[in-house]
Amino acid sequence: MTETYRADLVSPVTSQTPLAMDTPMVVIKALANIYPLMVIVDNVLSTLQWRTADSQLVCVHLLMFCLSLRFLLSPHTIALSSLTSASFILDYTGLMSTVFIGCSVSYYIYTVLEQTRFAEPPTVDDIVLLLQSIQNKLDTSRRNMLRVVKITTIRELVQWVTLATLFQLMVFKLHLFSAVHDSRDYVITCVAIAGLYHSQSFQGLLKLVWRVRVVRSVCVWWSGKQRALYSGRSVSAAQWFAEMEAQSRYITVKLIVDDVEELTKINVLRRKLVELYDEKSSDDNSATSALDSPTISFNIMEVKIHQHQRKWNGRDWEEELLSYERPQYTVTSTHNTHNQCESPNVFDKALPERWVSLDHTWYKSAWHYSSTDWNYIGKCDTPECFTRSRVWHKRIFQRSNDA
Amino acid sequence: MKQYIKGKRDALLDSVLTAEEQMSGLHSTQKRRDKDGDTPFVSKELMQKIAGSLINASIERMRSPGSGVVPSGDPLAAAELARYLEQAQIDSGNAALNKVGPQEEPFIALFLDKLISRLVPERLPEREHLQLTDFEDADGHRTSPINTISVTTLASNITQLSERMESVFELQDSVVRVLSWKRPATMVVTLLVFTKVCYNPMYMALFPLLYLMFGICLPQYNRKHAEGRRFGHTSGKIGRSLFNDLLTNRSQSKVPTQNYGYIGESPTLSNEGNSEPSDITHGMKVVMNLRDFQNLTTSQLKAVDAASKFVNETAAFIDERQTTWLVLVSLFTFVVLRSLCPIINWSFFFSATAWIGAIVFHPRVNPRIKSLFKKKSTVPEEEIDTTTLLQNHHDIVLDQPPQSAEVEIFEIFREGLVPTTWKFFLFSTSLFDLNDESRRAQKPPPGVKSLSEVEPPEGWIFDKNSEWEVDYRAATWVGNRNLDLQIDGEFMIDTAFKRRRLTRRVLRDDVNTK
Repeated sequence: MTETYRADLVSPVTSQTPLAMDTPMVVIKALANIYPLMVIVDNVLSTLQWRTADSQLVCVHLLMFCLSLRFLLSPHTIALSSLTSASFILDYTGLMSTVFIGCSVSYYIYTVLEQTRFAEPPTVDDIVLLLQSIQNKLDTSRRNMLRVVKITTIRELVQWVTLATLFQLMVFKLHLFSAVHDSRDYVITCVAIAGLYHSQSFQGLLKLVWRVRVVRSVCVWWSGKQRALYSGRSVSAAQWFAEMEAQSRYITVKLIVDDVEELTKINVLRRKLVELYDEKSSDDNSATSALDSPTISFNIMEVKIHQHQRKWNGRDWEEELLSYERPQYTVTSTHNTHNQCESPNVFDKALPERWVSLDHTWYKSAWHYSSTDWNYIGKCDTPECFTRSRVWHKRIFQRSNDA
Repeated sequence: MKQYIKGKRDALLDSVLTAEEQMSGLHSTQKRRDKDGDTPFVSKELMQKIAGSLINASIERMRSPGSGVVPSGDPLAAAELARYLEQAQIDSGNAALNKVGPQEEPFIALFLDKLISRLVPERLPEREHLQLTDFEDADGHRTSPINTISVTTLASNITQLSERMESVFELQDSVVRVLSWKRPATMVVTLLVFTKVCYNPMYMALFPLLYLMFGICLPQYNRKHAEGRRFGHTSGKIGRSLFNDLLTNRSQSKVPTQNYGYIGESPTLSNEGNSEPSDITHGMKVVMNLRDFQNLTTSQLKAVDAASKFVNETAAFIDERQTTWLVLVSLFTFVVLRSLCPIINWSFFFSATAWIGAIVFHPRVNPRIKSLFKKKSTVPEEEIDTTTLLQNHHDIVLDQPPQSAEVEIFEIFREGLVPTTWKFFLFSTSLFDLNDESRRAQKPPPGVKSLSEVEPPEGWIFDKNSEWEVDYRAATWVGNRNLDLQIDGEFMIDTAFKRRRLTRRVLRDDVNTK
């Protein structure tokens, strides 16, 4: 039995030429000086994203921060009559939290400075790695934000402003949220949500929520991108044929009549028309015929129906598709937009008058596999393909009127 | 003279013991040395250890006959052993153990202890303790918690535990009896207490106090200071209670309710299949407790298995759809409950749920409710399979693309007889440069002759929509490896070999597979 030989994964971090060789001394010195600052920034970002080893500590700090905010945003004069034991305890813990957070921040900065001063100075590679870590974290936060709020058009701006206004109305006028009574509660709630939002667990939860079909439909509707993949218009077979005829979306071929008897045999006629169609579609100018031979003109139209499928459970392809993406069968119109249509069998039965099938059966192209957003990937089914399409072809013909 | 011979014998035994210990230590180090490679001598070593332990135990035994001191180094184990032996003698009069005096350790236990200490020579890692690791014994010496395993202690613990677990099983029995409406009055009282606790959780602390006073202390007081009053005859057996007749679950009850009479002493409650409580001897009780203990551990194991299955399968995204549903349903329930929190009267909700649950599961009511529902549902239960319902629905979109990465391999060419002509040599993950070990050993590197024989790394699959591609940026990959060799197009060349880098995309093979 032969042993399997496995290729190696390309490791993202390769041993690069030490940067110290190329970096000027002044730059190294400057970077070394701001190293403590970078450590602090990195730690702050880690805390915001709950990436520290002790997540309970982040939770305690967030709680203390909220309590501190509650204390700092309190009205200046406290009416003794309205002072309850609960509010007194909250105010007191708020004061304690404020003092503690102040001390904690100073203590942390002091220890960072102390440790970096007496420790071995960082190498340029250390600094670069730290900067990369900061950049990655900032990038993650940016992506987290853009995933939910992305304003690129005026329409989106208006939408978000309207939503924000409605939300304020619900909070402050209708009092729909029992936990939020006034602007102070509102600020604290916002801070708490902001503190939780960038945590990996919260982002994971958002991704799981995104798996819900209804949520997707609502989000696509909100972003106004539901017409990106198909027009939303449904076209019956008869309508489509009528449109095609009206726009003369067919080619006309001239058949030289050598033997009239032969032409009455439908299979012979079909074969000749197919030959002519292939010639015509390969070279438009080749349709020259002997001047003195009699000819009959035929119109040949190609019916192309796109079939789409989605992979739902990671394995099997199903005809069910999402409401905002393409339906199972589509036909393209003049602007190359996809319109919903019936199945090829219905098209077979709905051939317009005087049109006859040129091909006996529908020719099906190979499947084209795409990502979940219908971006083409390739012709093979792999775990990253979630949608696929193929085209059903069939040609029909009629005797041309201008013959 | 006798004294001299005894001294000599002891010295001899000591020297044998020391030699034996040293040999054992030698074997342990040998084993550690063999750890990296295969250890074919494991069984041999085990035999040696068993034999060593046997010798050791025999010598220990020879040294201490009649010395009156239990040779074990662990005083706690010795005390336990003494108690255990005493009990064993009293209870069963086991012939094998009878030969051993009360203060003498049985040979087999001594042998097993020695064997265990041989097999597990290192100090075992300690568990977390609430108290400090060191505690003081009666003499004020600081001692560590017991960290060795002793067969005698373990055996005695299990024996004692199996005897003392009786009350636990009795409690379990009485709880089941109450919940299955075999004692309707107790059930109603329990529900009333629960309702009271629901409305004011402070009763969680108050009721135990009441129970301590009136349930434990005062009955004991009355029993102790009965002042000669005896209610031998009571008319409780004559006539029947409407409440009990109406509510008692007698369908499965093996114990007639009349037996519970309201006489001061609590009745001895027998389990199913036992004819008379008086028939239960001490030995039988122990066996019964052992059986219950066995059942308890079996159900505990089942519970642990179920919990680990839930954590490692149901909640671990093995079936992506199922776990997503689990998370989303939990989230939905959380949000709904949190929103309804201020509106719902939770005290009423919980107490009403308890009462309704108790009534619904009453053995007389439950069959009627079941038959009522059976009539209504026309679809047989077998046909409704919730899992298939979930599978067939398209409410969850599983379209998370798998992780992708790149793999690399080097196509190595060897210089032909005529300079500047190159002949294909191998596909290898190794660069096969001048520093390569195989190159220095003048051996070909591990590799294959054909690209089709190259497999993706474990857990990955090749992206079928991609092919092996030549990396034309030779300077970059050579630079990344800190190599300073000649580059010719996509090739890196040294004295006799040249190679180029091929890459291909791979995908993780575990996402959305279910």
